[in-house]
Amino acid sequence: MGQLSIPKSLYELNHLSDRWEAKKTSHRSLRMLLILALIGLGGNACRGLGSREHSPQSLPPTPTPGTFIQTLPSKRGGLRGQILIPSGTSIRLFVYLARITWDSKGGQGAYLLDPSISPWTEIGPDGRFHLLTVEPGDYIILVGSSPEGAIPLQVGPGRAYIVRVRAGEVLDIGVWPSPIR
Amino acid sequence: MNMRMILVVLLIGVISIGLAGMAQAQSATNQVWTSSITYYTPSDTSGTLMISFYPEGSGTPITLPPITLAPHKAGSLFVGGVSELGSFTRGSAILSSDVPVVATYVQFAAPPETNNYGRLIYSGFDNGASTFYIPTFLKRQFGSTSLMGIQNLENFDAEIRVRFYAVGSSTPTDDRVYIVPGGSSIIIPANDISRVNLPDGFNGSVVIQANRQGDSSTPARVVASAQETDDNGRGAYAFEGVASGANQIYMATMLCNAFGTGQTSYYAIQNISLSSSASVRVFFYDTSGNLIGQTPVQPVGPGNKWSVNPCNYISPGVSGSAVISATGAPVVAVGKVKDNIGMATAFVGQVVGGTKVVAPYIRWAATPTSEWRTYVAIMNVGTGNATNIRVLYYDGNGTLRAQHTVASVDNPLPPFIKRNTNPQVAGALDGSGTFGFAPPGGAIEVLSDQPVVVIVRAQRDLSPPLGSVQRFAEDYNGTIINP
Repeated sequence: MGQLSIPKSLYELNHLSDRWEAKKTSHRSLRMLLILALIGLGGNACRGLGSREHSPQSLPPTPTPGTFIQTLPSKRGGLRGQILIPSGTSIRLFVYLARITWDSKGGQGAYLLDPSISPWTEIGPDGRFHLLTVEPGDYIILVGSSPEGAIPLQVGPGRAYIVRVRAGEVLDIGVWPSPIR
Repeated sequence: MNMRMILVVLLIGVISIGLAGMAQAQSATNQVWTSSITYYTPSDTSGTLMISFYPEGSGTPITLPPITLAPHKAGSLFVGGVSELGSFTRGSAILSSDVPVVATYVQFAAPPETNNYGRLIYSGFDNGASTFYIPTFLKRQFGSTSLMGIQNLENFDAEIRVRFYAVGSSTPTDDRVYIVPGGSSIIIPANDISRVNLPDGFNGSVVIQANRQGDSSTPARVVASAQETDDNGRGAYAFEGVASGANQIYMATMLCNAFGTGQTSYYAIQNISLSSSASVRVFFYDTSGNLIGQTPVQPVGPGNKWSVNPCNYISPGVSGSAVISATGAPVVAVGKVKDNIGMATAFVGQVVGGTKVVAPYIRWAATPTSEWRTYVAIMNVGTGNATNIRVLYYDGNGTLRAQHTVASVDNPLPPFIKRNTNPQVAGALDGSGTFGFAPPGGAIEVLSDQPVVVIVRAQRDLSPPLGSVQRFAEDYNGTIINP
């Protein structure tokens, strides 16, 4: 399996959109996936649909058949991925999404994580997480045992990994090493 | 909609992982900090909170989605700046709401160092002034280095003049003018020679004056905060700048070798007059209502500061309060507390008390080492005994969890004396023995028949210790709510 580079920025994300389209699951694709999943039970119907490898030692996620057997609420999007949690980690870890609001020019933004309203979910024992009722927009993804100690996924020192969630789509961010060590 | 402005200067507002500086062991000065805003509304009705984020150097705010505030809700927000390229950026924030809101700004070491350093806490401002004072500013002095943030509250560009006075000198060591766009802020680290040129070992105070750019006759409102961090240690604390001085300053925390760990408070007292000397004296009180000591009258020159250690005037092992009295010129003061197990805190001396004081960051962990605990000091600054002081504990949902009667007719609190409360003695803990964690958020309202000042101590013990450091702690001031 070839190794893809991690998008460095929203700018690059936008310009990589063509590539990313193949890794996103649109509403239409959801319906198709539902069929595929039903047909493919016992196999791996989702292989190659959204997995990317971010480090040589990481393994591509193997989505559980039926992962997409859900209908996204209209005007909502989704996000999924896998965090490679170091063995021996005993604390519960969560994924939090901090919504970005851009200025009118789009060059500067501010993010807000409000634990009472921001999307979050617990990371499963296998490192996978799914968030399926996310308001469309740009987000920073943070991982931690609480919002206060959460660490953003980064594409480089001091550089956030920014994702764009679109209505009716589930964005697969692939496999990431855990920022919690 | 009647929006009330709550102002919070975000001193750093940066999340950054993997910088070279991160690898430098045990230097809070070189640590990367991240932040949260902890808020509370004392309103009985629901409202809406708006946050405007100003990237550093920019006068154009980014307005974040509105947040619905339930009555008496306490919560935390994590706000920061980010560029299109993903870089985390510095900035400042203005909170506004249609109901009263108070806020504290909590900075903690960026992960994964979060639990390896102390926290910095200071209160938000509800107004600004054209003149601000920072009573203490250090550069590699006493093992610490300062950093200051100044925010321009106007919608026009401001010329902000900042003068740095060394102890004993009436001539500024450095005298700079910074141009700051409306709503934006400037960060001045003492060790950044591009912003200020101070010698190593600088120990002094700062005077800030602001006016409209190119128009010295039009004042510009600003707010300012400062932090001090250990150059080769884990200590870190922050405090608000002060907009005006007074001839009487109230210090709700006064310690001399207290609590078995050598906790001692140190006061930095700044004469804010640039032309007149002040004659300053400090009076020390215990918790039993006794005046237990006082300093001689000390002359303090224009713009200068005087440092006071209570242990030079009272017996050790005391926890109490103090009153700073000045004639000839008004003064401002900052209190710092240090001990022999690593803790370091700061708070601002207060010139006036209130009959309703709010503290938005109240927590109680099940154990002293598992998370943070807060302890509250309440000082009567009125002219008579306080006979009705009640402390109301609200959780993150806005539910009243407990009410603690701190003073009553049968148990009055005399003038200038302090008394304490915390979630445990108030009976505010949940079934897990905690307060403020589930649901996240906790706050208090202090209601009194005499004006009081409030200081909150947040602390966490370390197990195992980090070298010689066994405890992190920080103090912040309660905020007066005017009826």
